[in-house]
Amino acid sequence: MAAQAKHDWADDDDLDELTTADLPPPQKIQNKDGSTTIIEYRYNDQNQKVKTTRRIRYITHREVVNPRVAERKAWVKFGQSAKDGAGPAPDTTSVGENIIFRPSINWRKDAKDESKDPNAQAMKDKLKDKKVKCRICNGEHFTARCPYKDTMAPIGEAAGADVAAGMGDDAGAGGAGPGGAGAPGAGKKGSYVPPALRGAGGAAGAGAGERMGGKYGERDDLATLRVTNVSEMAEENELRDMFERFGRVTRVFLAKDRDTGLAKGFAFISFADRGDAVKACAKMDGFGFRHLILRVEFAKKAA
Amino acid sequence: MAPSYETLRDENLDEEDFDYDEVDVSDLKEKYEVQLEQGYDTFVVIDGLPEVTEEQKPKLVKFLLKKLNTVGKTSEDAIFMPFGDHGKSLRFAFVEYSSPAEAAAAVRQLDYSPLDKKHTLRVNKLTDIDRYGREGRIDEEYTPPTIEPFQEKEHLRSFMADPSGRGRDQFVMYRGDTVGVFWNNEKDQPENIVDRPHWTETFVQWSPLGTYLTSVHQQGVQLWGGASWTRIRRFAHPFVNLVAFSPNENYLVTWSNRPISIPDEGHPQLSIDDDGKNYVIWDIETGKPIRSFAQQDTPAGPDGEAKKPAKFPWPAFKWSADDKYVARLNQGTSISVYELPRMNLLDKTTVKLDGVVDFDWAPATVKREGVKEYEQLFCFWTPEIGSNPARVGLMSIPSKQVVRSLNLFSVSDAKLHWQSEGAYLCVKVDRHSKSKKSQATTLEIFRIKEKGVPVEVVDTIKDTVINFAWEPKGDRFVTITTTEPVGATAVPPKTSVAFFCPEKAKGNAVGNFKHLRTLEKKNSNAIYWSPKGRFVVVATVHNTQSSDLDFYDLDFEGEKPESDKDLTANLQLMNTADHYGVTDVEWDPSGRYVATWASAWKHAMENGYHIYDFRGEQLREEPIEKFKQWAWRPRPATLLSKEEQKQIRKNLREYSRIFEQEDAERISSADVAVVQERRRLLEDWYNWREVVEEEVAEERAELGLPADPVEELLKAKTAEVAPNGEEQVIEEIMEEVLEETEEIVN
Amino acid sequence: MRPILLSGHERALTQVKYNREGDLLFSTAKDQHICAWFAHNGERLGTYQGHQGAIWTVDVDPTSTIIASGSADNTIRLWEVKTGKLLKTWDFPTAVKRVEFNEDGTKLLGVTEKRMGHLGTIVVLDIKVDPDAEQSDEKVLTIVCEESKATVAGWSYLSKYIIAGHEDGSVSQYDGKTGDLIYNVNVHELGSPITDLQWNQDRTYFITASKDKSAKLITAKELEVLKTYVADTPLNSAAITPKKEYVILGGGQAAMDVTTTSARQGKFEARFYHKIFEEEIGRVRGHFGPLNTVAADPTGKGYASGGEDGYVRVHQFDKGYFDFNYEVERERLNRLAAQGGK
Repeated sequence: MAAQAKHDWADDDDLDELTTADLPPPQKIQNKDGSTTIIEYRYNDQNQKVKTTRRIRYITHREVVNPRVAERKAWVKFGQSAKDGAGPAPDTTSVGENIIFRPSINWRKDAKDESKDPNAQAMKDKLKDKKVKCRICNGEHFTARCPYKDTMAPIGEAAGADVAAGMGDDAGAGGAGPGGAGAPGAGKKGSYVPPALRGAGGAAGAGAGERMGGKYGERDDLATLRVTNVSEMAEENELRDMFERFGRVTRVFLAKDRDTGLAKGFAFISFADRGDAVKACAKMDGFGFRHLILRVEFAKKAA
Repeated sequence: MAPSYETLRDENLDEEDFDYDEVDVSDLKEKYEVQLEQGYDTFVVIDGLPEVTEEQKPKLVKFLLKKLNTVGKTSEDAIFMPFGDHGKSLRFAFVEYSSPAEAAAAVRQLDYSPLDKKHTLRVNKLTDIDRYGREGRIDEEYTPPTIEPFQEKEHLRSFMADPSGRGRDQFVMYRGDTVGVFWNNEKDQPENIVDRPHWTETFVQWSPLGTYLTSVHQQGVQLWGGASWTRIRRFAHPFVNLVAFSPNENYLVTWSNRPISIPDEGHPQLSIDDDGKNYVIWDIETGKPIRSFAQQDTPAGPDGEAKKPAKFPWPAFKWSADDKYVARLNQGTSISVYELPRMNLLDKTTVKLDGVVDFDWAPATVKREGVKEYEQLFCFWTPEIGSNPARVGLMSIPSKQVVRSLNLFSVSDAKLHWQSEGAYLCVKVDRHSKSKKSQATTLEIFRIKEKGVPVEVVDTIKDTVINFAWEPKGDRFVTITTTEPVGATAVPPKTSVAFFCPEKAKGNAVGNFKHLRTLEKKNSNAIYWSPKGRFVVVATVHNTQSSDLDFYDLDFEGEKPESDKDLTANLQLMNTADHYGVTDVEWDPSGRYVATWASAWKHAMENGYHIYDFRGEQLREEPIEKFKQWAWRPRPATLLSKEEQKQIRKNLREYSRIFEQEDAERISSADVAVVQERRRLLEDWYNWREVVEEEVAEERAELGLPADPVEELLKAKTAEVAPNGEEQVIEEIMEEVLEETEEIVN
Repeated sequence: MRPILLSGHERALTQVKYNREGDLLFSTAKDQHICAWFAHNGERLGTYQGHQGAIWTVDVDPTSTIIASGSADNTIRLWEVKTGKLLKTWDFPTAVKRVEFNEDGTKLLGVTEKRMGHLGTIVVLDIKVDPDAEQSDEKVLTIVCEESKATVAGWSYLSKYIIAGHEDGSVSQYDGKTGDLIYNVNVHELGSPITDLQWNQDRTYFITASKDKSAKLITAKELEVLKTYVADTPLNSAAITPKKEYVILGGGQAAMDVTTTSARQGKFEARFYHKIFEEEIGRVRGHFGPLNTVAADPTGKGYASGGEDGYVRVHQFDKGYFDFNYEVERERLNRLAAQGGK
């Protein structure tokens, strides 16, 4: 609620006069920063009094209108556009995604530096955690490299959370992660753990991660998007570039076929900020990438 | 009208009047006369013949003929034996051969050959006698030969002194048709030293100590060097294919697929003895060939057919570490060891080793415990033959004593890997099970320096080892194994990279080799250690789908995990880089930089090079069309003594500070230069624009055209549209909503 | 900046052209119609139907009254911009690859293709900038390219010269009135055709793009190469931006030329170089195929690119683009401002 002036009804001149509108008159208040606040009252459909507070700034918009240009704007459409109404026709015109184009002398280096760091960090983290243990089958390999990965891959969020848990900042988190997965993995070693149970471990792991390193806490399902109908030629860094526009991407997981290296057609993108994820979802859904149209939605939680 | 019989006049028939001699047919003679052999190249003079009489002459001639015909064609008539007034032969004869080559062969072979007990033939070319023997041809006085004035040659090691003082390394790049040598400027454009098109025809190669750059041509091999890159030596081995140097750059071996054929005119460097040979060993200093060898036919295999070796073995002639010996494998039978500089077989005999299939010299002279005499070592192995087990042996030259021998069973193949100082030898043995179905590998590691050369077995590897590399100057190694044999599958199978290092042991002893870490599910297939050890790049080359380069540090100065506390290495992955389509990787000789490149000889996509520092940070990449070859220039061994090296290491901090200052200055000065250049360009541009605009305005005025050609037309247009004609400026006061809220009140 | 995607064509784009005031954009493609768009919001004004073959080129006269187009149906056609009405058709023996009005719209040049029996030529037609006027059939001038066929051509300042780029990588200067060859200079790598030729605002210099992966800035008067811009992909088009001293290059290797399926071989970006310093300063991605044509808005506010993928992408530059200056440029601007203030 913007600042309001203290309207003392006592100051009203005509107290007796029943104003047809018992709506208080609109007010204009000058704010300190140069903007103006306008308070208006009206009745809405349910006959309730609604108070609208608007803070605005007055600007002078100057436009040099070339008469010829103005004249052309009024021309009648012809040819294949003859039947089009005013304004851009949706079948011919659309707005693309926002491109940040900032010329710079070292543009190449800047572009590279951006993409390098997260990768380097990820690699360092991977090797720091020496106890490599797969959460699916408890083998001595990363979960992403598990031979049973194929049977479990569609449940990506759990994998996302797992990796988050696994890549804890220090050994502690690392211990918690596998530990967390160990519980669901309880029973026979290497046996198939249904996603329901595994999710619990993942969540625990994610929780552990959250406790340990704040930044990993945000990497949870609420800011993770599932992108489907991805071309098989797609690469992780390409996806990262595309989604980086909307905000910091903490993780990109592109499902790849183990043997051929081709993308399996879907990917998970985790954002640092959920707001960014929302923006990305809105913008990238339906985006034409190579010969396929992407489908972007929020990743559903396991169970 | 042609004369017919009726019209023939009597005069014409009268022959007596016709004088043939008057007819001048000299021109016809010139044209059609058969030219007799000019020159006396086919003649030889034979001296030292016994004195014979006219009657004995035919017998002597016949006897002589038998000898003479061994080298060529001659006949009785072609032998002229002059006789003196006293009725006896003058003890020499002229013999004509059918070709000058035969005459030359006669001189070569028959000169000084014994005719009988009392006579030795002397055979000389007639032309030689003419040249040397004729009076007046040779000065009576002895004049000493003129010695050319001494020409100072350039310092061949000048490349070691970097004029910029930064201690940069050089490298050569062969792209398109041009070969260029550059200083490594890390991130910046390499500084060109020399760049010549068509410097080589096939490839370039550095000599092992970096002194020479070798270029390979159809006529032979040339060595270039010195500050101005002049040609130092030339070795004319026609159609040469491959070149190898001896480790101390004293000798050169060249090989050609085509046997040498010496033309009749002779060859500037090779002699008739080299005809038909494939290998030539040259002395670099003098440029003369020492000896040549023919290609060996591969011996017949057990089935009786000759087997061609899968890959041409090169170098075929292997040098000992100090250039004193060179040896060649005679597949399946023996090893021929030659002594230099004479190139004679050591003890005049080959070293018989039944069944030997491979051998390798130690890359350095090793000081073995308890051994005082000088020796050079090489190792060899023989496969299983019949009931005899396979054997790996270590032989000392010149004693030819087998100082260590090892029997092995169930061996399908073995490869020999020396460590760079000769301190260890690893024999990678591919073993098969009794049924030959499964394959496993063991590594037999010989500790050369210890007494008795103990052998340690590492047999924890279940898969086939496709690559192996020792750490230079160190005692750790890396292996790459794969689960399936390397076949022709479309997708190369996943590989595992394993690191091994010795355990910590008391005192100076080296502990047993233990497995340190294995990284699985990788695509790597090549190992490149830094020449100083400690850092290694494990790469995937020749793979279109994956092309990563993993940079590892084996002495990481961070935490060491518990499991490794007894091991002498702390493995850490520093960085992973990617170079699409990489075909080759090479460390620079100082171990500071890694160059990776995609050669156009292997594929044509994205050729060019990348330079990384030892941690895997990419410093520079440059795509170059038709990029063929990159090679760092090797450095000779350091001249500093151990104490001096220690001193430098102690003062490293001091030096670092100075160097960093210098670097910062350099970078900032480069910037200043760039900025000045830009300023100049800007000025020039705007000045030029001014000039042009003035010129055009003048021309326009001269032609009577208005300044803006379209002004009138546009004015007309505007008039149609907006009678006021002027461009309107519309000012609008707009509200820009910053914030809006609604609430319900009563 | 948010580019506006225009999908008015089913086939690959061949040329995009802004009108003088920068409010209209014309696009031609291998399908058979020309589209006219409002550059500001991407709204299509209309299409010009009538050609019976792929349309290679289009140009608009300085008053935005008429447009001319050249096509694979061997004709040059003149249209009224406002209504789409076909005003005139000129026939030729071969396809027309480039048309350009001179600086006052009174002449039109056309580059015809080389075919069996016909050498490539450059023809000049007289134009009356009036939709109702009768246009002359006469080919005022025909220049025959004996050596190497012309691929692109344009009018210099004062219509003094006709400059042509050839298939062998050379550039020729012809007299604008007589058609005589004055100079021919080998500018690009021999054998690499020149794919585009665009002028600066006053037509005193131009930029050529070539398949040899470079673009060059050349003076109209002496055919002197002022600047060279090196790219890593064959170029199809190049444009000079007004207001800021940049050039835009577009190119890319077509899918069928690429022997591998590597994504890296694409390079479908518009590349920005600093015109004076010849350094690359940025790239704009977005097209799914090679860029066939780029055009700079004459008011300097943006640019448009047409790709092999059939899309036209119209961009309006942000503040960052206008604010960017090299250190030395900032110096100069400050210096001029100080001088102006005095």
